[in-house]
Amino acid sequence: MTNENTTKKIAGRGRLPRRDVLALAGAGVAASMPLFARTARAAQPIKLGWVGPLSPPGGYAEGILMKDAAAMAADAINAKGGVLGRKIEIIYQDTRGLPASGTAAAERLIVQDKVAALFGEFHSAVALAEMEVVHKYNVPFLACDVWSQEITAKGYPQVFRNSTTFPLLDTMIGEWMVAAGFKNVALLAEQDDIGLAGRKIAAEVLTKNKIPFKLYTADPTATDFTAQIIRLKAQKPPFDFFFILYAEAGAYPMVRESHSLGFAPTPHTGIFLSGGDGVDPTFWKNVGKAGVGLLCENVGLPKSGWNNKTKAFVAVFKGKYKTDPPGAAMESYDAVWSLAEAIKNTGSTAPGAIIHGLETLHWVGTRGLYTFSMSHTPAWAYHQFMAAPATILQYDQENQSSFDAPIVWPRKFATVPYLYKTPTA
Amino acid sequence: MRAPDLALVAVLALLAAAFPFLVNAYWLHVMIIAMMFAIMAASWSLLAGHAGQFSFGHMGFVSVGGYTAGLLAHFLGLPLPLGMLAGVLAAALVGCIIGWTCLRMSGPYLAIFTMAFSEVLRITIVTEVEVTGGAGGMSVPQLFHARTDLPYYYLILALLVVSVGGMMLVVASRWGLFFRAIRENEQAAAAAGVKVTRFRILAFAIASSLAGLAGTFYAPYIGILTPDIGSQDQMGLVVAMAIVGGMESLPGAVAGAISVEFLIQALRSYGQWRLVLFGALLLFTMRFARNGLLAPAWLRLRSLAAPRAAALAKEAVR
Repeated sequence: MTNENTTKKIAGRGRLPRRDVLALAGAGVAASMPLFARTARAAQPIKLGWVGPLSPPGGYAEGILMKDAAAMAADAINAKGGVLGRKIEIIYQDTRGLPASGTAAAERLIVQDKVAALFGEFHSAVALAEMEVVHKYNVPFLACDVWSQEITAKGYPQVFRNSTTFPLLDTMIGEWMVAAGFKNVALLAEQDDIGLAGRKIAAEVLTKNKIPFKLYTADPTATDFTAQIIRLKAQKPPFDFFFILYAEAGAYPMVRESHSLGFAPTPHTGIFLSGGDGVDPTFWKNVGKAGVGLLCENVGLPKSGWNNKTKAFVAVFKGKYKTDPPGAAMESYDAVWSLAEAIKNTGSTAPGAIIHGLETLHWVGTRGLYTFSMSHTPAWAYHQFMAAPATILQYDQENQSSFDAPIVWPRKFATVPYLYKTPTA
Repeated sequence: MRAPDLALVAVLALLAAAFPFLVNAYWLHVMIIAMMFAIMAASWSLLAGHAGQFSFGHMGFVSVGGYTAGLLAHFLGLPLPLGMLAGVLAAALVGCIIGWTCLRMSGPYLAIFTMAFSEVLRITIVTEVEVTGGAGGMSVPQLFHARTDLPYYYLILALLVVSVGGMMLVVASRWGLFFRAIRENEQAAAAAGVKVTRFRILAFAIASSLAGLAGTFYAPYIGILTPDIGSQDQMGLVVAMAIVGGMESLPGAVAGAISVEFLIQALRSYGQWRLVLFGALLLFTMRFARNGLLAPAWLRLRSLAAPRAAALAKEAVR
C-alpha cells in the first residue's frame, strides 16, 4: 500500500502541483478579463470614434482643443434630440502622434466599441496608418486637421477630409506673393516633409511668375537661427520678403530673432509664418511685438465670412475654454455635425449609408457649405472638401486676435483694400 | 528543463496558438504589437542584462531594419521577405560597426554614444524627405493581403519564439558565459582567455540584428514607417519593458513587454496619467526590485512547487 501510494506520488511529480495550476489558471482568467470584448451591441446611442493626440510626443495641445470642440458638437446635437431619435456618444482615443498607437486606437474603436464612424486626427502620418484600418473594416473616416495630399489621393472610399491640403494652401500663398509684388524672396522651410512639400509648391508658383527667390532649410529641432538670419540679412540684393515654413518649437524663436536682428518685419522686408503657429493661442505670448506686421495663414472661416453657426460656436467655445477656437477645433466640431447629418439624411448608421451621406452632403457648418468632391483629378481631390476655407492675415497690432486681424487674401474675404501693409520701422 | 517547466511551456504554447480565437481583433492587434516589442525588449536585455552593454541606440537598429526593408520594396520592388532579410543583415552589419566603434566605451559613454547614433539616424531620416518620406512617413506594402491579422500573428509568434529561443541557447552556451564574464570584469575575462573584443561585437551584432528583425516586421504590418519608431521616447518604453520584466531574464523581458503593452492599452482612458503611472512603476522597480517585477514573481511561483516536490522526493527515498 505504501509502495503503491509512493508510486502514484512519484508519477505526479511530472505535473504542476494542483495549487499552482489553480493559481496559474486564476491569474490567466484575471489577466484576460478585459480581453473578451463585450458582444452585446449597444442599442441606443450612435457611437462615433474620435482619434487624435492627447499626450506627448503628439501635438496634444491642439488635440485637446479638437476633443473639446467635438464634445461641444455632441452636446448640441443631443440637446436637440439626437439623430434618428438616438443620442450621439463620442469615444475618444489618444494616438500620441504615433502611427502604431493610431492603428491600435482605430482597431479598438471599430472592433471593441463598434463605432459607426471615425473622425479627427492631427498628424498626417498617423492618419495614413489609421486609414488602412478603416479601409480593412469598411468604416467611414472623416479626417480633420491633416494636410498631406496622400490621405485623399489614395482613393479609399471610406476616407473623407474636411480640412485644407498642402496643394490648396501653398498654391494660395504663392499666388498672394506674386500679387503682392515681391521682387526677391527668401524661402526657408523646415527640413521635413511638411516644410519641403510646401516649399516646392510655393517655389513652383514663384518660378512660373519669374520672381527671384532663394531656398533655405532649417533643422526641425533647431531653436537658434541667429547665424542663418544674419546671413539672410547680408544678402545682396536684399530680400524683400522672408517666407517661413516652420511648425516646430523653433518657429517662435525664428520670428523673435528675425525681428531683434533687424531683418524682418521691417519697412524693407516682410515676413510670413506658415505652419499654424501664427494663429495659435500662445502666439503673442511667444513673439510679443515681433508679431506686428507678420503674415500667416488661417484655415478657419474668416470673421467676415462667419455665419450664425460660426458666431454661436466661437461664443460658446470662448466662454467655456477662454481662448479663440483654432481652425482645427472648428473642423472637429463640424465633423461631428457632418456625420450626424449624413446619418440623418440616409436614415442609417450602416457604413455604406454614411459614406453615401457624406458623398451627397450639402450642409452649412461653422466653416461654410460642406460638400465632398467625387473627382479623382487631381488624385487628392477625391472626398476632399475643396472649399475648405483658408485666408492670409496680417497682424497690425500687438495682441490682436486672429479673428480681428486684417485679411489680405483671397480678395473675396479681404477686409482691407491693400494686399500687404509695409511694416513701420 | 524540469517537468513543471515543460508543462508550463506546453500550456503557454497551447494558449499562444489558441489566443487569436479567444479574443477580438483589437486585442489580437495589441498582442501582435506586444510581441514585436517583446523581441526588442528581449534583445536589449541580452545586450544590457547579459553582456553589460547599456545601449540607448537599440531603436536605431529597429529603424535600420524597417527602413532597409521598406526602401528596398519601395525603390527596387524587392519582395518583402527578401527585404526583411536584408533589413536584418543591415542591422547586424551596422551593429557590428557600432559595436566595434564602442569597443573602449562602457557605462555612460556607451549610452551617450549609442543615443547619439540613434538621434543622428532619426534626424537623417527626417531630413532625407525625397528618399524616406521624412516625418510624414513612407508607405510600405503589406506582407499579407488578408482581412484578418491572423497571418501577422502567427508570423510574429514564430519570430518571437525563434529569436528568444535562439538567445536563450546563446545565453546557456559558452558564449553566454563569456558575455557574463565580460559584464562582470573585462580584464579578468581577458586574462582568462575570453576574446573580449570579439564577444562584445558579437553581442552587439546579435542584439542589433534582432532589433532590426522587429523593425522589418513593423514596417509592413503598420503600413507606414515614420522616424518616430527610432525616437528616445520609444527607447524608453523598451527599457521600461525590460526592467519591469527583469533585465537578466529573457522570458522576463518578453513577459514585461507583453504586460506593459497590454497595460498601456487597457489604461487608455486615463490618457497622460497612464504615462505617469508607468514612470512611477519604473521608479518603484528600480528602487525595490532591481531584478524586475515579473522574473522574481515567476521564481516565487516556482518556489511554491519546490517544497512539495522536495517532500515527494524525500518520501520516494524512504
